[in-house]
Amino acid sequence: MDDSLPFNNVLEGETLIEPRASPSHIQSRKPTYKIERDWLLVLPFFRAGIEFGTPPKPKPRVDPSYFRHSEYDCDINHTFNFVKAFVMLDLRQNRRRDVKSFPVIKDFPSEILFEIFGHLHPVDLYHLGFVSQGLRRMIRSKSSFPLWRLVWQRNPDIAECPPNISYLRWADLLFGEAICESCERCIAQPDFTFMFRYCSKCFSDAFFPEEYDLDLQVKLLVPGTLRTMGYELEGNRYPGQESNWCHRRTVDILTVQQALREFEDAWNAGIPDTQEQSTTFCTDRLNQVQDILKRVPRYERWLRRMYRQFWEQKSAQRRRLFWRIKKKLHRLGYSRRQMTYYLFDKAVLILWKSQQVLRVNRGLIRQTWSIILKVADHCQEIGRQSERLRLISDREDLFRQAYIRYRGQYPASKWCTFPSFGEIFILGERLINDPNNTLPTPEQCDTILQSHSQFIESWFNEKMVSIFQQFVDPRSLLSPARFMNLATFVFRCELCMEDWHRLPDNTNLGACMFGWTDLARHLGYHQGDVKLHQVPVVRKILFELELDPETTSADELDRLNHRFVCRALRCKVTPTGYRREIGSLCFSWRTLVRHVLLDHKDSDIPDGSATGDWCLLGPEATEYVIRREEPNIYYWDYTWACNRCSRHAGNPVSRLVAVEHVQKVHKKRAIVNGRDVVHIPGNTNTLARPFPVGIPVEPHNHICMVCPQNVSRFYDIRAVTTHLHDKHGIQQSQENIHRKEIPIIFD
Amino acid sequence: MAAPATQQIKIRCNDEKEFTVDRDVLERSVLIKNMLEDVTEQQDAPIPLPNVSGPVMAKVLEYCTHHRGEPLPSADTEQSQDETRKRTTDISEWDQKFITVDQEMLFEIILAANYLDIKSLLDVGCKTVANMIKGKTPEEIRKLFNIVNDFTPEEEAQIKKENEWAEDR
Repeated sequence: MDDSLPFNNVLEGETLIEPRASPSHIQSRKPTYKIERDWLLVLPFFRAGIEFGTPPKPKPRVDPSYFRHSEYDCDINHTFNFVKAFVMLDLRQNRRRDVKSFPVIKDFPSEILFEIFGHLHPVDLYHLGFVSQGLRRMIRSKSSFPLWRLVWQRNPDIAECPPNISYLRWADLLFGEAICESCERCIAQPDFTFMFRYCSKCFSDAFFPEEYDLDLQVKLLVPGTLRTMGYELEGNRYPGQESNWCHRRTVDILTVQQALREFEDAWNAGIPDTQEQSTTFCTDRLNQVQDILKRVPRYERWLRRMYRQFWEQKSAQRRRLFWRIKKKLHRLGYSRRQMTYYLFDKAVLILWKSQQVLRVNRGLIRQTWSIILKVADHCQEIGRQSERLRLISDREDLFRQAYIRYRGQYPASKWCTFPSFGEIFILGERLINDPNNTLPTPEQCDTILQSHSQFIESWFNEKMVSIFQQFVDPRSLLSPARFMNLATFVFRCELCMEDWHRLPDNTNLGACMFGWTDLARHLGYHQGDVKLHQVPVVRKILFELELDPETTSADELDRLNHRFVCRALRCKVTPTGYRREIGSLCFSWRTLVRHVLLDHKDSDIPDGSATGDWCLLGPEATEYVIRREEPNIYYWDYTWACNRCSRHAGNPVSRLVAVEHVQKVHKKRAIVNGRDVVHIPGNTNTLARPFPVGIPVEPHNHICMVCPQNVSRFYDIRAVTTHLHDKHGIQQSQENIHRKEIPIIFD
Repeated sequence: MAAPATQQIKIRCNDEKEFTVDRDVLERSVLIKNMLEDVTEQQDAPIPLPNVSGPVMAKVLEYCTHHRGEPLPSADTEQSQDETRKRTTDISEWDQKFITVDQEMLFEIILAANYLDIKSLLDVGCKTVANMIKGKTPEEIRKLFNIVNDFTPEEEAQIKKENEWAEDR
């Protein structure tokens, strides 16, 4: 700048600001450098004090990458100060006219410049300090104190400056960058108790939390702060350093403790006037702390109000902009329905954040519009596609409902012979994929189904014939009933295998395993090829059970309902007792076959040839295990349906969904399996059925022989003894008279 | 009964241009008012105003004529103190129209008002310039007043980042 400018005459060392009026009890002290220590003794917690004694710190040079990689506020990449942003928004809205250039201000005398600056807002005055070095020196000089005071008096919307810090410091705190003063790396909000900005880490380094035990007198004489001020940045909420602890600055605590100790020592030494000095010191400190406690909530309320107003304005501004964009797009022929699509809003929000739209609020410039139109085209295309998909889905639902109505004409026992909706879909495919954007009427759907009633009713028989064609013996075609008894033939559903049990070497035999009777039922709900396998392990099971492998059906095996235990997966005996592992599981014949095929693979044995090493449980143990078995209620087990209506007859759901349906539609609270929801095991895609049950560590293998319904409950040995003593008064119970042990066969 | 004739005063600007103005109009200027009170003999001689040019004086006289008869602001009254405290960026409609001049003229008017000690006119001029500065970022202020940025690039980058959010509207 020109050297003749009046504010260039301010010397370098004069960048100090005149202190404000001091509190009454220290009025007599002059704020000179000599008594800086006294000031600090009295007011050790006021950071502003250093302004009187030391030159101002140079402006921190902040590397923007610090903000991105900051440990504490890692996703903030600018020093956002919403107080300043709000004030600037307000000022810009109230600005009357824009002037391109006013080159003559440098020729103004200083008194006129002060006159002009006196009409500014504090944030404008603060900004002038960043215009040039000369103006910075002038604005921050000692002589500009009256100017700052005038500016603050004329703008009562900004919180008034506290009595213990300078206007300049106050302006820095309110309008300065929201950056930690200590580490200069993290975002930090102002703290009005101590009048600084500290991030959480620096805060915890410099402050004592209340959890430490402090003398009550020290607590009273040292102010504390709660860090609860959070903020929100474009929809992201930053909670701030929320803490219920009242932190006190370590330096303050030490200072006060030292002072009190000195007074105590002097008192013990009998120095006169010590009591009076001590009382004065404590009274002054107490007054200061109480002043702060009164003032701080006011500032925090003001800051929150400012914050709320700012975001309200920003939201309103964004809404206005969105409205303008949508209106213009509508005028250009874009569908309003598609433009409210969330993708578009999201895209414009990104533009908004990237400042491309924001800067041109007064007029959307061509460059911005080209981006918006691209986004709009893309969103419209997606919107069209999703609208079409919604329409098809609606049609599918209509057709599905029509099928449920159609099936409802028949007894439920016959539904298993009807095709799944997937096959029915083929019948109504033309209707569902109609290129017109109209929904079919229910009558249209009913008509299609009625016209194909022959197909629906004969579907089961045709499917059976197609299954029999896969048998090894071609005679099955002539007399299918004869070959239905082949339990050793196990079918595998290719579709289920692909979906549910993917193994790398394609050896997942038995992933979905059926006898032929439930195969048809399974195919009623699933499409897909089935393949026939001969499984040696089934032959071994039949051999163990002394059944004829040629004539025994899977249904017969199901009815016998035996349980097996794998020898290779027994319980482990550890020093602390039995350890429940997978070996404690009991298998049904189906799950045993699966277990052997999947888990007993060996490189020496061809796939599917393993027979496993297992044993059969005795009848009592089997009874014991079955009593503890529960149907599988996991969410991925889509084998449940409502038993009160035909809602899930075609597409069983998980038990949770079925229960929700019964509770909501049929208004039933207590859901009972078999009464309200029904289990359809033929539809299983799951790994095991029934679900293996675990045997507890201490086997409950005793029953009470005295109780009339003695088989209904099992006890361990200790429990049955206690039961006999407590319930029946038998002191010395005898085996097979009062109690009986049910053997569980493992070997 | 005829109204008493007001006293006519002559003034001469630095470009030798002379104006004959009513005394009560000229007394809006504290400088001229004091001068008139001090000097009473040579009433016909024009008062020299070496720091004001003719066109600027015409503009100042237009302002004074419009505001003639209004009470002069007194620095001691409580009212004036209250006035200084409140936000003073509001300018009356006539004053706004009056001050809508080119930048050079605005500058001259402010200087003339300062020289002639016309407080209200000085206020109007200063408020107008203050309104230009209001709500501007440091970069915009630099552009407005053709001020050279003598900060280091790092400081500049930081200031820009700091004001990023303030720029949008």
